[in-house]
Amino acid sequence: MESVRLALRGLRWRAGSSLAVLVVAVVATAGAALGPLYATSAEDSLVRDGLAQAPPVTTGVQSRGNVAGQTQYSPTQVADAVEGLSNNPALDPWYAASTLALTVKDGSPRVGEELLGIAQVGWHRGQCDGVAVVTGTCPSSLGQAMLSARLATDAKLPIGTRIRLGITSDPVLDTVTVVGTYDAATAKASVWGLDRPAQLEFGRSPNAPDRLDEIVVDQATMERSNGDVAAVSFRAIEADRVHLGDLPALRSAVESATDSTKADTGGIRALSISSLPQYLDDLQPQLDAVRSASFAVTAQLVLLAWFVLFLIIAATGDERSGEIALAKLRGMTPRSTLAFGLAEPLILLTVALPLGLALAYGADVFLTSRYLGPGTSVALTSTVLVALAVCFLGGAAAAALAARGILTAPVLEQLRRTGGRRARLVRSSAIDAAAVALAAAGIYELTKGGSDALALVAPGLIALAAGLLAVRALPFLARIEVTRTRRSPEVASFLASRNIARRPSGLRIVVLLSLAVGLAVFAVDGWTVAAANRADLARAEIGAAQVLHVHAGSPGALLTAVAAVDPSGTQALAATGVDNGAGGLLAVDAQRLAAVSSWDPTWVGSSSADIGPLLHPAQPATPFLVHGRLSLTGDYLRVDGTAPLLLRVAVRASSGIPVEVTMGRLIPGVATYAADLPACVDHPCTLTAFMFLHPVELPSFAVSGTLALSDVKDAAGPVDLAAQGENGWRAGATAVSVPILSGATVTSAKAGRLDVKIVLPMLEDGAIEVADHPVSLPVVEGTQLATDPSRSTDFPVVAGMDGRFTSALQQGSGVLPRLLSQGTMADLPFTIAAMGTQPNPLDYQVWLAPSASPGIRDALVKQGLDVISVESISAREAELDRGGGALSLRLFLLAALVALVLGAGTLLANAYVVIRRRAYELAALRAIGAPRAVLIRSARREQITLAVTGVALGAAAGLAAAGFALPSLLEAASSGGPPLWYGPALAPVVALVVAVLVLLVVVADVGARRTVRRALPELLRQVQE
Amino acid sequence: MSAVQTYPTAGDGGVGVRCEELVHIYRTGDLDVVAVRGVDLVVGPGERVALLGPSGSGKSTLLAMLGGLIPPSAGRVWVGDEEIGGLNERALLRLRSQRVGLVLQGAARNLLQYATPVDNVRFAHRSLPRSRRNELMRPLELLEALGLGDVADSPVPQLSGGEQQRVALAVAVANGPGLLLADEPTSQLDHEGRDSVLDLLDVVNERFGTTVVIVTHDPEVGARLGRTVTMRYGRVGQEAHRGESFAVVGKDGGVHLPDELVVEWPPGTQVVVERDGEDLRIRRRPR
Repeated sequence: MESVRLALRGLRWRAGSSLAVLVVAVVATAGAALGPLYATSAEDSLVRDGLAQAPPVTTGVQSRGNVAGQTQYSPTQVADAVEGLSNNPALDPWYAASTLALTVKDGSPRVGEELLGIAQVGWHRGQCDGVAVVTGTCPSSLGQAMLSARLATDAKLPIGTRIRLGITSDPVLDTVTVVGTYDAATAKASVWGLDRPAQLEFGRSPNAPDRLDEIVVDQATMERSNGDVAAVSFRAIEADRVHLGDLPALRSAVESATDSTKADTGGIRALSISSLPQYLDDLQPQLDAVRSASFAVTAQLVLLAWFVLFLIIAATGDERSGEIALAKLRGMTPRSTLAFGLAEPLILLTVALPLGLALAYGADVFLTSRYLGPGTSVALTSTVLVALAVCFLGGAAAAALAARGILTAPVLEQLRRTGGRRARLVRSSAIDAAAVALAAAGIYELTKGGSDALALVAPGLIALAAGLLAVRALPFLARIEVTRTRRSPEVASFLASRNIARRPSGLRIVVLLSLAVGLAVFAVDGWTVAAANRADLARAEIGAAQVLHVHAGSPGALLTAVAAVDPSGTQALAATGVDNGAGGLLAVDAQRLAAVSSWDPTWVGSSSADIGPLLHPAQPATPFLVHGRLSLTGDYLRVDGTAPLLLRVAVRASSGIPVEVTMGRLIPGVATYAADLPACVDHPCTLTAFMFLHPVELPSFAVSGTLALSDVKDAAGPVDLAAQGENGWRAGATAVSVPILSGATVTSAKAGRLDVKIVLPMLEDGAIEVADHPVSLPVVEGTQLATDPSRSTDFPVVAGMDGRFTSALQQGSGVLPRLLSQGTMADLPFTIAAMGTQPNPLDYQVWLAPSASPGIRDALVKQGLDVISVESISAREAELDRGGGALSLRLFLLAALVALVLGAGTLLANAYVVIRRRAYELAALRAIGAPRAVLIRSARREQITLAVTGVALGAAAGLAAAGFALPSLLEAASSGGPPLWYGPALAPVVALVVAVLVLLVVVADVGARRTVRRALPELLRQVQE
Repeated sequence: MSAVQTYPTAGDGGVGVRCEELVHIYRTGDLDVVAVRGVDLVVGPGERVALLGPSGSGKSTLLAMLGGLIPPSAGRVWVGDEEIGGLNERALLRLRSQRVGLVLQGAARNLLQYATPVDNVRFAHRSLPRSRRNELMRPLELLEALGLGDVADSPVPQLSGGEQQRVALAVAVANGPGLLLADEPTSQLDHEGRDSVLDLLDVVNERFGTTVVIVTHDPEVGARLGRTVTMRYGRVGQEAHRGESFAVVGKDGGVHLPDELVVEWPPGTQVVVERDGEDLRIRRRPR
C-alpha cells in the first residue's frame, strides 16, 4: 500500500508525462477492446439484417396438413393439429404469432356456366382485419365470399353475385354470394403468412384460364369443401428480437419444432418445416469472416498498443532513471527495483483499463447506432475481456522490457545522466528479421490469394518491416550526412544528422509512424476503393435508382402502363425477369435503358449511346395495329397442286398474349376473308403474321400459288399492309404457337396491295411475318454464361425461341443489371414480339430513374399495376455497407484512426518527455555559444526528418499493402459483380498524408522550441560531478 | 532515546575499510584514463576520514569503489572482513542495503523529490528484509534522533539545501550501515548548513559508531573530521591526523609535496634527497 502511495505521489509529481502515458494507454486499451466489441456488434447486425432481409419462407416456420388422404378428419380438426404444431412455445421468443388458414389452391369459380379462371379459395384467421375492405362487407357466415376489387371490376361481378367456388362437388354447398370486395395490395403478412391474395396472372395461352386473385370465404364455407383443403399455419421470424447470442438456442428451437418425430398431432398427419438452420449455416461464413477480420485488426492494434506503450514507458523510464538508480544505490533487490520501476506504469495501465473499456464501449455505441442495423446490441463478451487482458499483460511486458535497460544500467551513469546511455537500437536483429520475413511470407500468400484475415494483417506487417528496415538504414545515411556537414556552415544539419546517427533509439518513432500511417493509408484507400466497388455492385444488382416489383398480369400490360405514365421515356422503364434455366433472362425496354438505368453499359463493353440500338436495332417495319374484326380481299391463284390451304392471321393482344384466328380456306380467285378478334376490341392488337396452313384434318401435299391481299380493314378503318413496302414483311413466322420457317414470301407491296408467293412442300406450312422485330433476338450475355463450356448453344433464352438469339456485342460479354455475370439480357418489346408462347411466371419490374417524379408510383398504380415491393440502390448500398466485407474494412478504418491517435499521442508525449532529456545536451551546446536559432533548427530538422521518413514509409507501405491485399478482399466481397476498381484512391490518401505531415511539422516545431527554451546552461548543474 | 530500539551496526565501532594497490582505469573516447593508481588505505572501524584533493584527483572514484559502485580495475578492497572487489551485483546490493550507506554528490540526487523525508527513509528500508527492518528505528524516530523531526513530513523540494543534505545522510544511515560514504556532503552549503551537516555526521559517528568517510574540497571540513587523506593524481599523497600533516610514501617510493611547496618547486624541479639520521632531507638542486 505504501508502495502504491509513493507511486501515486510520483505520478502526481510528473503530472504532465503521467497524463501523456495515461492517454496513450487509454487509447491503446480502447483500441484493443473496440475490435472485439465492434466485431460482436457487427456480427449481431449481420444476423439481424440477414434475418430481416431473408425471404420469410426461408426463416419462418411453416406447418401444414392436408385433408386429402385423411378425410376422417374435418378441415377444422386438421387446422387445430397444424396450429398445435405451429404454436410450439420454444419458438415464442423469436417468432410472431402463428397465422392459420384453410385453403383450396386451385378452385375453379364459375358464374353460371362461365369459368372465371383458377383461384385460390380460402379462409384466413383474422382476415377481416388483415385486408382493406373496399366495398360491402367481409364474409362472416356460411356462403359468403369476398372478391378482390379488380376481379370484381374486370369480371363484372357486383355484390350479390352468386358464384360456384369449385371446391366441392355439391353445387349448393359450393355456391356463395359475393358480399364485398377487398384491395389485394393491402393484405397483411401477419394474417396471410406466406400467401398473398393478389395472384392475378393471365393465361399463358389464349385458351388457358387466367389465375385470379384469391376468393376469401368464411371458415364454415371451407369446412364444407371436399376438395384438397390444406390447413396452413405460418410463424414469421421477428428479426428485431434475435441477437447474435440467441443463435444456438434459436437453431435448437427450430430444429426441435420441425422434428416430425416429436410432433404430437393426435394421429393427424401434419408437419412443420423451416429452412432457418440451413440459412444460419449459409450465414456462418460471413460471421466467421467478420470474426477473423476482427481478430486480425485487433491483433494489430494490440501489437501497436504494446509498441506505443513500450516507447512511451521507455521514455518516461528515462525520466525516472535517477529514481531507479537511487533504488539500486540503496541496495534494493532487482525484484524490488523492478516493482518500484513498474509501479507507476502499471498503475496507469490499470487505470487505463476501465477508462479504455468505457471509451471503446461509447465508441461502439456510437458506431453501432450510426453504421449498423437498428437495434444492434453492444455486448461485453468474454472476447473483449480477453483482449483487454492481453493488452494489459502486453503493456506490462512492454513496460518491463522498456525498464530493463534502466534496471541494468550502472548507478553512477544513471545518476549523472552522462555517457553510458548507449542509445540502443532495437537490438534484436532476430526480431527485425522475423518481422521482415513474416511480411514477405504474408505478401507471398496474398499473391496466391490468401485469406481475408491475412489481407488485413498485411498492412501492419509491411509497414512494420519497412519501419524496421528504415531504422537500420537511417543511422548509416545520417553518418554520411554528418561527414558531409562536419566542416560546412550547415550547423543545424550537422547537429540533426549527428543526433540521428548516434541516437538510434529515437528512431523507434519512425517505426511507430510507419505503422500508424501505413494502417491509416491502407484503411483509407481500402475503404474508399471498396465503397466505390460496393456502389458499383449496388448499381449492377438493382439496375436503377428504384425498381418496383409489380403485379402487371402481362408484359404488354406492363409496357403499356409504363408508356402511359412516362411518355418521355426518361423516368421509367418496363422490365421483366424470368428464370429461363440458364441464369435468367432480363428483358428491358432497351430504348429507355440509357436514360433510366443506373447500370453502366461499359460493363458489357458498350456505351450509353450504343446499348439501346444494340438490343433494339431499327427494324424494317413498325408494328401494324389492328382493332377488332379484321377483313381483307384475297386473290388466290393456285399454281401447282390442289391441296387446300387455310389463311390464318396471328396477332398479339396488348397484354402480349398471341392470338391466332383462321380467316378461312383459300379459294382460288377473289374472295373476302374475315376474322373476329375479341382480344383486340378494347385495346388494339399488333398484327404478327399471315399463315398458310395445311388443314390438319386433310392429307398434306405440296402446293404453290400466289395470293394478293388488299382492301384490308379493321374496326377502325383501312389498314395499309403495303405501307412499309416489301421489306416490311419477311418469310416465315416466329412469334406464333408453332414457328414456321418460310413457305411464303412477299413479292410486291404497293398501293395497299400485298402480293405473296406461296410455295409449300408436303407437310410444311408457310407464313409471312411483319418484320417489326428481329428473327434472332439480340441479347447480351453475362460473362459466366458466355464462358460456361458446358452450356448448350441453343438453350432457350426465351421459352419457345430455342436457339434464336444473337449476341448483340461484337465481342464478349459482361456484367448485366440484376443478373450480374449470369444470364441474358434482351429487349422487352422484341422479346414479346418474338415469343410465340408466354414464358414462365414473370417478375414484372418498373425501373425508375433518379429523376423520376414522386408521383410516378401512384400513376403506375392507377394504370393497374400493384406494387409488391420496392428495391433501391441506396437501400442496397446501405445493406452492402453493413455486409461482412464492409464491416471488416470499417473496423480497419477504425483501427487506423486509433493508430493515428496513438501515433499523434506518442509524438506529443515524446515531445513532452523525451525532450526533457535532450534539453541537457542542448544546454551544453548553448553554454558553448551555439545560437538559439540554430539549435531550434537542428531539433526541428531532426524531428521532421524522422517524421517524414516514417510518414513516407507508412504511406508507401499502406499503398503497397493495399495493392497486395485489396484484390483478395474485394474479389471475395464482389464475386460476379462489375469490374473491380483496385485503386489507389489517391485523393483521400494524399489528403491524409498531407494532414499527418502538417500535424507532425507543427509538433516538431513546437517540440523544438520547447526543448531549446528549457535548455538553459543552469540545467547543467544537475549533472555536474 | 533509550526507549527506542537501538541502532544496530555491523560491529562494534562500525565497519573498517582497507584498500590495497587499488587502481581504476576508465575509457573516454579512445583514451584510457587512470583515475586511481595504487591506493593503499586503511580506515579503522568507527573512524572519521575526509578524502581531500583537487577535482579529478580520484577521490570520488575511490569513494565509489569503496561503496561497490565501481569495480576496481586492479587491487583489492575490503569492507569489514569482506573483500568486495569480486562480489557479484546481488552481493553488492546486499552490501549497500545493510553495511554501507552512500550519499552521492548533490542532495537532490539522493532523495525522491516527490516524497517526504519519512517516505525517503521508508524507501531506503525497502531494501531490507522485514525482520531486519523491524530491528531498526522507525523513520520518524531516526529523523528526530538526527534533529530532523521538524521537517520529517515536509516535501523535499521545500527543504533548504542543508536540510536536504542532512535528510540525504539520514536516509543513507537509515538501514544501520557500519560505513557511511558521502561525496561532498557540504558542498554548495553556507557555513550554517555545513556545520549542521557536520554535526549530524558527529552524531552518526559518535552515537551509532558508524565509520564515516567523506569526500570534500574543504580543508576545514577535513579538519573537523580528524583524519584527512589527500589525493592527487589518483594517489594518496598526504595524510593528516589531528592537525598534523604527513606526506605518504607510495609503493613506488614517490612522495607528494605539500601544495605550497609545489608552487615554489614546480614539476620538473630537480631535488636531492639526503638521509639525515632517521629522517630524510630534501633540497633543491643548486642552480
